[in-house]
Amino acid sequence: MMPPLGPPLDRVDGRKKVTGGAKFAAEHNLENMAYAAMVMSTIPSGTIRSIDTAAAKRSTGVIAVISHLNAPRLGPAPGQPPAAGQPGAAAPPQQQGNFAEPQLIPFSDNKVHYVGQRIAVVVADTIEHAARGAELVKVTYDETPARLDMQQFREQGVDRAKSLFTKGDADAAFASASVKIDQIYRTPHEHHNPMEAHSIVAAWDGDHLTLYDSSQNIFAVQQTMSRLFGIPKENVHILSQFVGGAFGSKGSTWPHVVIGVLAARMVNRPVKVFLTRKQLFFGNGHRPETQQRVALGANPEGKLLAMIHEGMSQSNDVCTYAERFVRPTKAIYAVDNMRAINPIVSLNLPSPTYMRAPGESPGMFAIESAMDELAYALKMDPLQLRLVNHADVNPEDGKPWSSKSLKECYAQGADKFGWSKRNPEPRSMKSGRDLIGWGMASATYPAHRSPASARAVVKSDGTVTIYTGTHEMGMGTATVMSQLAAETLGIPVERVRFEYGDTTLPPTPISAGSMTAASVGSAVFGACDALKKRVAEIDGVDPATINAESYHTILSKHYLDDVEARFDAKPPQQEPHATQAFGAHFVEVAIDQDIPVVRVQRMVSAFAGGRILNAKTARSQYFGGIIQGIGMALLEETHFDKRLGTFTNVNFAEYMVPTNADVRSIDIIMVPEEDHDVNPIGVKGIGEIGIVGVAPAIANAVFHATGKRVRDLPITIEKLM
Amino acid sequence: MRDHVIFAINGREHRAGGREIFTTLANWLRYVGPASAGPLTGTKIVCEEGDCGACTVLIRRSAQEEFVPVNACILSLCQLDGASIVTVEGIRMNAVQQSMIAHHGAQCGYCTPGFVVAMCGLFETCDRVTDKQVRDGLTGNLCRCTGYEPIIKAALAVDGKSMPKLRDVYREVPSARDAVRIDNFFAPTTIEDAVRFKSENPGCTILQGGTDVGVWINKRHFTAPAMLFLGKIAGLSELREKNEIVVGANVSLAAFEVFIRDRIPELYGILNIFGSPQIKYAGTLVGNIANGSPIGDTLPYLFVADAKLELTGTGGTRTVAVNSFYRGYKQFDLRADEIITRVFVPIVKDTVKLYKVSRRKDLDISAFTAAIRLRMNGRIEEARIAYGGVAPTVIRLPKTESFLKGKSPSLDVFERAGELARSEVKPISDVRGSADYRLQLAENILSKFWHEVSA
Repeated sequence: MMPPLGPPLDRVDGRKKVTGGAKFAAEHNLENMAYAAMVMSTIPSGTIRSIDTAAAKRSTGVIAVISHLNAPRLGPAPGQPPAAGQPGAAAPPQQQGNFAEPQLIPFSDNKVHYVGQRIAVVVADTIEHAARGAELVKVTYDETPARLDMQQFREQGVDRAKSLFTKGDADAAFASASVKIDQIYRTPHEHHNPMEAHSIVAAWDGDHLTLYDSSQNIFAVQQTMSRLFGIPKENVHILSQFVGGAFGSKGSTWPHVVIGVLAARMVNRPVKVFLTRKQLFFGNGHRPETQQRVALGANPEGKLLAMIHEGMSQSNDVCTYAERFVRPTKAIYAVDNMRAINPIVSLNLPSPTYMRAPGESPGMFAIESAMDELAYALKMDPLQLRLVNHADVNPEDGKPWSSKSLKECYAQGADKFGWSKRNPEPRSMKSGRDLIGWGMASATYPAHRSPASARAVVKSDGTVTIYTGTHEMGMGTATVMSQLAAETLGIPVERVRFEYGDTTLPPTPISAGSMTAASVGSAVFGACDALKKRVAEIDGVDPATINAESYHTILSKHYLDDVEARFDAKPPQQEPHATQAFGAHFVEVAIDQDIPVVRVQRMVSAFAGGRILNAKTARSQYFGGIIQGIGMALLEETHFDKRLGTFTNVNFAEYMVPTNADVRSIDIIMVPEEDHDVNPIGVKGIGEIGIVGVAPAIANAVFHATGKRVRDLPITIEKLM
Repeated sequence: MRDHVIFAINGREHRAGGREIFTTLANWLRYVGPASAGPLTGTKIVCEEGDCGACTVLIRRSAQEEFVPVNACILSLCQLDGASIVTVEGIRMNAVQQSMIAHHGAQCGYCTPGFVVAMCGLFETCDRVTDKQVRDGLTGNLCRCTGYEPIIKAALAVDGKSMPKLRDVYREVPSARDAVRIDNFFAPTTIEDAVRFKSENPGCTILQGGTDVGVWINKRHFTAPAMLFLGKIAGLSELREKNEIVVGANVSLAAFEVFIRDRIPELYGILNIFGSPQIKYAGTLVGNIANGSPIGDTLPYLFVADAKLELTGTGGTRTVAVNSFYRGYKQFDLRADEIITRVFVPIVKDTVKLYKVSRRKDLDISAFTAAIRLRMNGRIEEARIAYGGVAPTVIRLPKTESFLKGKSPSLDVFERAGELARSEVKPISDVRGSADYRLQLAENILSKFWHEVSA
């Protein structure tokens, strides 16, 4: 059996990245290439009355101006794929499209659904000429009343995600509970802001399309293009070698992709689209605003009797997204009476989408804040309250866990942090003029898995190439998959080459939902295992006798240039276990009393995420998640102007992400966890869980420091004055 | 007089003329590039306004200078005459890059070249860096994946002796001493030529580091009726102490910061968190003054220290106090032909405390700034208070100042002074802070001051 903690191998793509040699989508240049710049709507609701393109067309270098007035109609778009765990999720990825706005095919009519909608595109010979041309396009509108305020339209909320979950009688149990918390928690609009702007280079050759796309879901993009442009899937070739961060924002096909491909077809030249930072804030998804009610009822010993989690989040009429903030509700604590539902309110705002730990991240802010409030109401240690309510089986369906080491996470995290020395009284800990606060929260994220395929080829010189169409956005996929292949085959990792990011390779699912390692890893493991057995079979020996040198020896002996094996990995139809990763955060904050700026002084976070393939890449993933959690807690918020219907702080000066100075001491504990049931390689996925629970742990620490409970993120200075 | 600019990229000289000089260096590198190599895409464009460092390149303008980091996304080719530039492509697998690989400093890899270049800049002047040097040196580089820790560790592990200094690899700096005139763009070499051009071109935009103008050019496609670049005027590089500190218009904030480290430690502390190295190496003290922002971070000190500005026009020079220079939001006591040529910064021996309050610890535009200066002899002999972010300009608080005068200091006195200060300001709400929050700060900062000086 493989060790639970893999060796900390250096990244296989490190060299390319540090020399500037890694080529991202927009860095491909084709002969005779043109550039496209988007024109965005400036009203939230209405119709386009006219588009004056005369000045733009006269502008230097402009080749074409395209809008609904002159664009051909595109085919019906496939919708977004159902998320993992939902009906239909098991359909092969190549059959799923992923157009983000199924009800808004670009340039199909004159309707405007939100500010920032791509309503025209200017194609020119340079990127600057295209941008200049786009500014010269004059659009007039007929405005209609817009729905801009979630509060105002709250009564019209619908449960698009079909999430209603009930167990026992939550209202009755809550009514009769002796200790209660019933509060509203809010999380703001947030934007992923990956460093790399969404970009494409599209080229047509007859009815064959080649598309370099900064995508984390290339097979779905292929399907989407096939259906929108009415060409066979085989004619669509998507390449995505390097993706400069995504965090969910590059999982769907956003309008600029369709528009860029359309423009390339219309001007009969390759076209490059490189969105501006401002444009990224409008048509490429965001984590939508949520408002959540959490009602907890407990007995005097702290045992939860009732849990009600309901509320709403923003969405719109053109996308299908619903922020499922009640998903963790069903997985985190043992409660007999529960009701959970997450309706959306459809507004004239840009389309939201999944962002790092969608559902769990905002949902756990509400749950874990409420748990802290309950602990104070009970005069009980917050960690003790969580232990009392530990779920020994999955609360949602009673299934046993494939593995669960949350208690270990609590114990090791608390021990390293020194939690036992905490004085529970708010405002009791000080350092000079600074108030000190200690808070904690649990973390959880489901261990998803989707079908994936891989092919492994060994050459007679003993080197192996793994082919699988997956993505590398920084998680270390290429690195850990090379390691996994080497380990399975029993060869040094230097002999493995990993080919990915290309739809001509075996299909894989979206790289999101912390499921790449589990899904693609199962396929790579299967292919390598099969290859090893095939090579053994050729020589008529026991696979157990195969070692690093056997491949060269056996292939040479049998005059074979190469041998290959393919494996199509599928999750089981009926999963007998509940599969979920868990963790715990412990936080110390320091708050200057006079100008109450919150600083995270130190954190200890413990995670149990199944088998860890590479300690270095895993640590980086956890760390990155935690830092985004600090951003979520203290800095990140996209302001929405309800009069103008637009996001306002649409740049890096005003949408603040953490800098290195915002990050102090962070200890990460990887609790070893062996899991033989979650999937063949024992991996649970670690990409999202790092961020889950960070914001409530900080909010809880802020309460401990100041006695002020902040229930709406981010925790800005104003809220503490 | 030349009709083109000359600059070197990774040791090779290039020329640019015509409208191309208003292209940003980042765009030029990525979409045009040197004729020999074509587009150089290692330099990334992310925020397009100097906030993230992904486009960091190293620059020097003479063989006597060191290579320093700047943001290529807000630097136009017209500012590069005579400059030698190193991009990530000009750094060939050195100890910094090896350490970044070994410590997993790269995740998605998009911010990585910017970090590598900024880090290489740090090792131009030393062989080992401290934790503080790295953190300060890399505040201008944002990363969304790693959480920074692996990058900091990578820098700390580098032994600079094991790699060549870039100043030894790229020794040559292009010779470009003469003035440049391209249409309505003028880069003179004397102050006289500069003020004559300004008088002949009313409304002309003055450009030096371009940390603000560069953003207009890049994001708003700004074109000025005329543009005057001061960077080639040797007479504006003066930086010396003579009773007070004399700072020429071409002196970068970074150079000023180093110069005042021991002379005005309080102001040094503010400059330390003012912004990124990339911005401080490009921006100037005079630029911060001439920008006239009510939250200009250097201004409160200059107000309470009673700094003077030297203004030069076609008729000669005159001196005005910074306290009377601002006449409204971005309105100045400055004639059409005048430019600010020097600043005289007094070294204050009284008790001075400076405050910069912002949401993010570093690299953030202030919500509120303050300078409090106190001369005490048992009682308060004189108090000077300047606030930023509470009015259209940085302001003094005369009522609060006269209230404090003659009082014997105590927490109670400063609390009452705080209440008075609150009544003297009329802040507005914006993305950086609400009016109520700023009012509260206007009040609290005085008692915070007292806590600090009495401690």
